Amino acid sequence: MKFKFKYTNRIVGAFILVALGMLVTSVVLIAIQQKVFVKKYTFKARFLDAEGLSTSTPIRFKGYEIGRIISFRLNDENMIDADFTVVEEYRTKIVENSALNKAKNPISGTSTIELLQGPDPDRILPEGGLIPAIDIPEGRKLLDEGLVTKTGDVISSMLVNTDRLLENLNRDNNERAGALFRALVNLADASEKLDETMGMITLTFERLNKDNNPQDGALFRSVNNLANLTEQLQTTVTILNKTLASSDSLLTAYSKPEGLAVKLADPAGENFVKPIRQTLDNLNVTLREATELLAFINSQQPEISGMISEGKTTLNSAQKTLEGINNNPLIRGGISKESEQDVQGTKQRPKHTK
Amino acid sequence: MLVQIADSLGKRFAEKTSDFREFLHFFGESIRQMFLFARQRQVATLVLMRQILFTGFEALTLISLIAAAIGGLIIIEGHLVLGDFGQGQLLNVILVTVIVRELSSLLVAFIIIARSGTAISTELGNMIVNHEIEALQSIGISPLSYLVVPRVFGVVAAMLTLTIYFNIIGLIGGWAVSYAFFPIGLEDFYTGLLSELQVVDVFSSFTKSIIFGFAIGTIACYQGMKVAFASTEVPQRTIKAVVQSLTWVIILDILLTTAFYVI
Repeated sequence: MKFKFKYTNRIVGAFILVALGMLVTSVVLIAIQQKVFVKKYTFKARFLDAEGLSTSTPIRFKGYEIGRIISFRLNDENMIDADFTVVEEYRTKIVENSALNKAKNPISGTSTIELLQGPDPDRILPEGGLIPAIDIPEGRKLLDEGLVTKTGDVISSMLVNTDRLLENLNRDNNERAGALFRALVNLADASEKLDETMGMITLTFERLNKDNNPQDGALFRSVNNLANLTEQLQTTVTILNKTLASSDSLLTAYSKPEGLAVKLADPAGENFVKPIRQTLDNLNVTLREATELLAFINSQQPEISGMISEGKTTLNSAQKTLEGINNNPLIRGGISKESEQDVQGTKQRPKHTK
Repeated sequence: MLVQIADSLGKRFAEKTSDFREFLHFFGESIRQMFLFARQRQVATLVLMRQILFTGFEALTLISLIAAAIGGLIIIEGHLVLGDFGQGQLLNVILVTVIVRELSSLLVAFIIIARSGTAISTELGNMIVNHEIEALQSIGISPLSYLVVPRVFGVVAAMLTLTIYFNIIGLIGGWAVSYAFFPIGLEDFYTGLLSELQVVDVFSSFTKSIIFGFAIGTIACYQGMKVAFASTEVPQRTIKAVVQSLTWVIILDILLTTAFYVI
């Protein structure tokens, strides 16, 4: 402590001088970094709005700071006129047909302004010249004509392109103006109807599944009945199959009788088997002949039909003759008037009137 | 009952206004003596130097430690949080806003209140109790010009110097501390930082430190000089000095910050 008291002035002097030295160094470094003593050229800029704009917003070219906004104000056309300075070193970067791209950082709320250099680097813009932002018509025109190329980040590029697409879609002279939104509306309507349909289907299935309503559950009852029916059908088919198998066995047995009882009763087959076999053979022959006869009859059916028809006509004439004889005025009252036949042929004979 | 409450409130209000009038009188007289300081510096310079030594130099270690720690913490936390959003470049803005604009002057003020505010109040109170003030007055030395003015100037000078140290150590030390976790090149770090740092930020920090120092020194001296005669009053006045200093520093900080944003 005595040391401190003895050298109070020196300690305090050093303490303050070091602080002042550090302060001066810091200020000089700030001045050098911000190019305070470098000659600056002032240009004008025009933006659509002042969103995120401040008096120290840097102007960047290829990501490198070349100047700063120094002031801005609202003009009569409801746009923002701004003044910005560019240091002498980068004065030549400001050429004619250049544009500015203002991009707002959504997190910090600050904006970064990127210089989009014009196509001809030799045509340097005079000091005080105007550089439009690409969000106003003049700047957009430069962009559309390809005089400047936007080199922002991917998201900003996508946003700008989407914005331009939407703008073109909604232009008044576009025949398909609003097509995107109409498509969206139609899609929304369709999805609503689909939703309704799905609701109805769900409701129907719910009703089908209910058992406390006599009309509900019909589908599943029908399916159940069909299942029972097919089950019964399967049983019937199984029985039929067995019956046919038994018949087959019986026929085989009769064709070659080798049973013990038959062998005991008729070892030679003369008394019992042979007559049956002969009967069956005869029956077989008779059936064959009957089949042939039926086939012949079937083949002669048109002729037989004609014969029957002629016979019928002959019989009809004969009947009329007999009736005429019976009704002879000399004998009885003459021939009765014939009625027309039924068209459908259900009435075979003529209807007599009295 | 209501009359008693009204009487009590009125008495309290009268005391407060009386205190405030007394403080304003003390403040006005101190200001007047400050303009006379140059003429009386032969006697008061030593007091001033010792005040700067005690308030500034002896607090430098503590201030440096806190500044480096806070700078490092801000850089580390800032990298962790802002890095997740891809907004690492905002770290410089946060450093400038938090350390230079706000924390440096405020934290230095708190440390000075804790160390020097209490010491000044206690020392002056004890001098009154020991009749040293009366002795000075008896030989024609104004206690304000000899005891109060150099102390106030000392606190202001120490406050300003410590704020400079805090800012620089906070930024350099912060980088050094954080380098262990996030190796950022010194040149990259300071190029980005100096691009964001404006002269108005430095001016804001120094203006605050000067006004805070003035408020702390004046309040501490006033409370110390308010001791009447009993030694039991000294700690009471010291506590009052601390509470009032803290209150006024925060109020002034809000006012000054608002004023700088409006400007």
